[in-house]
Amino acid sequence: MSCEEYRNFELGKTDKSKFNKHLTECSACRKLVRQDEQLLGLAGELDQAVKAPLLWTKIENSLRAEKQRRVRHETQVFRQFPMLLRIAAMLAVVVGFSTGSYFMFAPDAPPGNILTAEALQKVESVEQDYIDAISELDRLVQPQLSQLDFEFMLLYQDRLETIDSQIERCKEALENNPANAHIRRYLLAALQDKKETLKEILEIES
Amino acid sequence: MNKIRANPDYRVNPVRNLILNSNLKEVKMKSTRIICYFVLITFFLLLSENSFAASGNRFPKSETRTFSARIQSQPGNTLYIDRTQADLFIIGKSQNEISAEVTVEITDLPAEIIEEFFAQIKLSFESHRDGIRLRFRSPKEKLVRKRTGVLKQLIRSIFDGDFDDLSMHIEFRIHVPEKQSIIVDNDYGDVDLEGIFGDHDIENNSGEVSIRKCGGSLKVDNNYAGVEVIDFQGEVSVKNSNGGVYLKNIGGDAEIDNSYKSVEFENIRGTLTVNSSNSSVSGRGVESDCFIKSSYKPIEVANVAGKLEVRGSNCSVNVSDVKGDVWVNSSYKPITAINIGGELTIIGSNSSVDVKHVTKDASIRSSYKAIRVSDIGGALKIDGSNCRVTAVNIENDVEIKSSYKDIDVEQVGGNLDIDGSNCRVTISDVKKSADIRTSYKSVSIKDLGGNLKVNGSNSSVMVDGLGGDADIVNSYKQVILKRTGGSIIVRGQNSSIEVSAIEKLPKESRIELITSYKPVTLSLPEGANVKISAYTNYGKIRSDYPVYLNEDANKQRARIELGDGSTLIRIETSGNITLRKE
Repeated sequence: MSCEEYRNFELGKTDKSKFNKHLTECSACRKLVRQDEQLLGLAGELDQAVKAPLLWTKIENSLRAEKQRRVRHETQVFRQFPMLLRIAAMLAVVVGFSTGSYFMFAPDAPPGNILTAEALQKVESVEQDYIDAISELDRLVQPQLSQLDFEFMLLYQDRLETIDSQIERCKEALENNPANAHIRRYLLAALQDKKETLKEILEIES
Repeated sequence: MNKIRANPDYRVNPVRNLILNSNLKEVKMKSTRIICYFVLITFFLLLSENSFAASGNRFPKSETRTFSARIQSQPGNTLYIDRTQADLFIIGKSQNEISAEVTVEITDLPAEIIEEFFAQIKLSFESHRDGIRLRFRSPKEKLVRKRTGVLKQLIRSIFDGDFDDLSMHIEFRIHVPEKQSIIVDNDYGDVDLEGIFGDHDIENNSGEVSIRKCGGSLKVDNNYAGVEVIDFQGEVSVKNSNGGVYLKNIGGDAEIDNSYKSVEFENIRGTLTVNSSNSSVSGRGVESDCFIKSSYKPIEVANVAGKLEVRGSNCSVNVSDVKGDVWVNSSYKPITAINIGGELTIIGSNSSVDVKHVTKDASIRSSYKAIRVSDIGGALKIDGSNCRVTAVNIENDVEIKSSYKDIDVEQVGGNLDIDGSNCRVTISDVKKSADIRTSYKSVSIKDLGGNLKVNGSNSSVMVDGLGGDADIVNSYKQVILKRTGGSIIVRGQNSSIEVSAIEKLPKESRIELITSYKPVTLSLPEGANVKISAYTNYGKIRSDYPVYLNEDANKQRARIELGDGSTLIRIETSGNITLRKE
């Protein structure tokens, strides 16, 4: 989709008649126009919003009133204490600038060696996803593994045994050190490895 | 003070407005105020930056403490670091002491638990065998080692106490004398050695091992993570199950035993031995012999000064620039060998083979895939069942055995022997003799220097340029010979025979053209000294020369004698015979 004409038309740089003429020659633009039409069609099928003619006006009015009250109050405060306004502005600039510059220029903190409770929960959830996927794949692979060529069967059995022993070792280590990121990383790698190996076996069969 | 007249455009430029509508005092005051604000902002800015930086971590969620210990050591001693689950950074320094610093990071727990935990940590050195052992003790340390079973679980429940939910990460930074031997037994941590010259034995589990600028001897046993050895002056042995291995600039012999992950190497001064399973192996620069074994993944080796032996099962093999002999065994994947200084032996099964520039003899065996060979300094032997064979520029003898596919041979310095079943054979520019056996497909020969022997059942034979004698046996297909220089014997069944443009008929040479049912045409050069005996039944004899013709029923016999008749010509067929003068 390298044609610029569609973009130009969208931006109003090309008039409709010229674009229509271009459409007869350019399949890429025709495809984009078709996609637009499909999108509009789908949008039309969406559920209509609840009809409440005065609802939005009411919300707007209440928001406006709230805003005016707050502005009035703030203006009064700052009128009474003009220096306060300046200090507030200055603080806002300082905090904004320093925070921004810190996040822009500070080097990334090294990845933690100990997982936080939140991170640990996420990692465990990912691990569980892998375990579920592996169990599903394992169910499909086992009957087919025995039908593989003998050499392949031995090869994959050995591979799976190696991975399983690594998974067990990691799990054992994690019993005493559950938030150790290094061990978690290796457990995850082993789970990924097992999933990929099982998929590979299925692909051989297909 | 002069009041400066307001500019009508003041609204559009506030700074200008400020200057034009204020007196100098006001301007000074406002300037001072702006400078004050600026200084204040800068101060706050620096303060906030420093406070962020001092924290070291944006979101600290763990507690870290550092402990250290040191001890005098003599060069040549051994440092033992065992039973650890830690990242180890060990660096050699020109000093006679070992200094260790351990950083312990633990889960963020209530302050009293943290303090109690750190209070129980002990880092010390103790005498052990021929050297010193680094001991790290923590309330957790005794628990994190491999433990299973009910008794061990019970011990854990008794002693673990408040630290049950505590996780920790340990990092050692150890400085040792440059000539220190290191023995490590570590789990779940990376191990880095730099600048240490001794006998090192690293046993690690699930952690990267990196050895740089070290020497002596090295033995690494790792798994599930990479091992990297760079600039090592001495012998290296790496065993890595499920982990990649990278060796670069190794001063002595290197031995690698791994599986499932890649092996890469560069500049090995000694002998390299790789014993891999399911690993790709690639590298260049071995100054002695090189032995590689792997399966299912590609093997690529270049620049070997000694001999090279590759045993691959289901591996593509690519070897180049080897000064010594090369021996390759693989299957199902392509095999390529280029620039081999010694003898080459390839044993492939279902592998295509490409060979270029071999100084000595080459022997190749494969099946079902193409074999292409060029520029061999010695003899060539090919045994390819169902292989298309192409051989170009072979200095010495060539022996080819194949079936069902084409065989093309060009520029052979020695003799040529082809045993092809159902193979089309095309050869050209062979200096010595050729012996060709095939069937059902054509044999085409151009510029053969020596004798030619062809046995082709159902094969047509075309020869253009033959220095020696021709001895051809075939059936059902034509035999055409041009520009011959010796005796010609063709025994065909149902084969037409055509001989023309004879370049030389040496004295005592003979021509025998015997077939059945098909015509025989012989063109003789001007001034030929021949005695011809031609016989046909059912056919006719046509001759450009005057003949003595005997006719008996359907049989015709003719005799011709030209010059001194030193060359005997015998022609027999049941088809027509034509004798032409060129």
